[in-house]
Amino acid sequence: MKWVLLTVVVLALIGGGAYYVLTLEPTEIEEPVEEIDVAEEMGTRSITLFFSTADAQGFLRESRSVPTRRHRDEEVELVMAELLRGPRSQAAVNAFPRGTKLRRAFLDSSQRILYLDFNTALVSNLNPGSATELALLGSILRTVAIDFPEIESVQILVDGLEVETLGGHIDLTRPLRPENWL
Amino acid sequence: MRAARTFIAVLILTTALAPAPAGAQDAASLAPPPAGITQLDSPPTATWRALHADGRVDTRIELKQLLGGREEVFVAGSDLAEILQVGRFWRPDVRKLVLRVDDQRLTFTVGARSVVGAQRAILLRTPVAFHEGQAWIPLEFLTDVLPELTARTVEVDPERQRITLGQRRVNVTGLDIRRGEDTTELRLRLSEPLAFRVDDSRLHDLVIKIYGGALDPRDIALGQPQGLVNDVTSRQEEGFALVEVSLSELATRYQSLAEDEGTTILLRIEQAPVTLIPDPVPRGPHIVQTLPPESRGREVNVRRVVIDPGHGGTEVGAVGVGGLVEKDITLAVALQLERILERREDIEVVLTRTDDSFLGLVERTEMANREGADLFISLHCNAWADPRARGVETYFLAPAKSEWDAQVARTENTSTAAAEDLDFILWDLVQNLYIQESATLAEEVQTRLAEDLGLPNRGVKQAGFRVLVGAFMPAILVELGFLTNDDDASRLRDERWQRDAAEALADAIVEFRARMDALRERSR
Repeated sequence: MKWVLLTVVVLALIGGGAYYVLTLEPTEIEEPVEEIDVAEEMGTRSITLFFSTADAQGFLRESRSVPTRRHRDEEVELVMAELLRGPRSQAAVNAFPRGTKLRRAFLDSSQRILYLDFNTALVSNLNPGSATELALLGSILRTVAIDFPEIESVQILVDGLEVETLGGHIDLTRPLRPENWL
Repeated sequence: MRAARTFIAVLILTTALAPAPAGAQDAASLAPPPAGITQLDSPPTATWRALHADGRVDTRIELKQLLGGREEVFVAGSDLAEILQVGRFWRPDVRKLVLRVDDQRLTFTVGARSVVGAQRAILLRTPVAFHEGQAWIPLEFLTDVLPELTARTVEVDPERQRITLGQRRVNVTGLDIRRGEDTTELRLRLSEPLAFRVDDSRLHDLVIKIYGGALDPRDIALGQPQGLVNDVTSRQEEGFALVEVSLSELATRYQSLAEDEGTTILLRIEQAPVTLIPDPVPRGPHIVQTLPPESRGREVNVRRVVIDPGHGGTEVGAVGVGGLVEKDITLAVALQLERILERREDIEVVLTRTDDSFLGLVERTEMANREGADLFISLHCNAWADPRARGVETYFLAPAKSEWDAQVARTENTSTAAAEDLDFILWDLVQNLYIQESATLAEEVQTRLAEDLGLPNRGVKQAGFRVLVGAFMPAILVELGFLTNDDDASRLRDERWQRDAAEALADAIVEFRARMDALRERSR
């Protein structure tokens, strides 16, 4: 009798187990979602730069890394230096005129308005066309928007002073909002 | 969902040359590759990089041409799930792959062209393949289908062998339809004020072009007819969003206006009251009429046109091939345009400069305001570092945003210049009053220049041009061509071409004038 009972229990367990296995939904394969920025741990951060396409109708991205800095404005200077260096890709074009240098980048006390002070080459060596101005400003503002999302507006200065435009087109008398350039 | 249907229709049109259709997905689930096409055991493979727009995800994926003699490229289901960062679920028994993309469950079946989603079906040009123990998805899913289904963006750069994935920043956020007795109101909700233009040239269809608009086609779509609106579909284009509203045959006229400080686009569609007296007005192409927007108090009556030849004096503008100078060409075209328009008795032309003299940007707009101009057209020539770039483009001002003003006010309130700035900010908003007309004028000018002169069309665009800020009238800036391109430059310096360009501009002005006259007439 004991054996019969035991057999019934075992069979029931096997049956139940088999039923459970048969009705089991295949399990979902979850892919890893979390990303670890290895570069950041090593004292550098990866950045995204935007360069104009050859037809000046769009932008291409390039990733690079720069050393991290305690002050945001110093980090901006490093990113802008990379941008001024130009694209590695043959498909992209450097919109900055010859000899352009960033004299200084600084943030206001709220850390939300970024001032980018360029040397006069930005204006004097520029061959001004709407396409050139929009590509040049677009590459700056898109890069700021992605690499420094906390910055709300950017004021372009030339030799420490505000300018009306770079070459007669885009209004620079007031700060530009990076998000509007994405 | 109608957006999907339209999309499928497009795909079906392009399937004529594709392998034999696989039919319903279930029946085709285990079908072998279509006859005449063999699947390769060691297919051509390329390793590409897949990046996320934020620059953080950087994965290498393999793309394979799995079908002999065909160019279709496939990506492994596992790679696809990894780069999209979505859940993957593979059922080997029925060879089905399920991807959970955002809120949608998309089911791919080996051998089938259809992708079954939660609410809609999509047909690929090429069936899903089976290789190395898993499903391989045609790359067209990533490049063509995904951006249509979701707010995700996909950029493919074949030269550098990489794919960049991102998220579209949506600013056309929703659609509301309210039915009245004889009217149906359609509202598009925007997260920021955007300029738009309603094209009513197609019978029973209104096409709303939203400049700088970004939308998710799933948000702006209609499941079933509501009132006088039969259907709404939307799609994303480069630089603008298009919303197509298909009207009932009962609709007789509509009105378009901006509400809530420009953050709502309202279309009020009206049905003629039913009468027993036969309608004497013949029905047909004129069934849809435009009523003037109520949001504006001003009417545009084009009598005095201000033409602004860009640059001048010491400010030469762009310098091009063979030392060609922008200031000379803009002046030459402006003088031609003046000559052409002067033949008409009903249009008066004022030039901001008639010789090679310097004029500030603000002075140009101020002059137009002082002259009481009804139109302002600034003429320019383009320049770019790559000499291959060419073509014509027309700009109108990006509307000033109230949040932007608040931001400026916040940052400036520590300075003493507050009062002066306030004046400045309000003056900025002046062009906003005319933004719809400026868009219409820009479209008219761009179409005439591109079509009549056969120039590469770079499109109507918006940007923050200094010379357009503060214009108290419809105002645009035209880039006639690239001085830095050989072909464009040889045209720009040719006197006959300058006259043809001036003719095209004159035609556009006259057409715009007629459009504005018709609007005023109807409002009486």
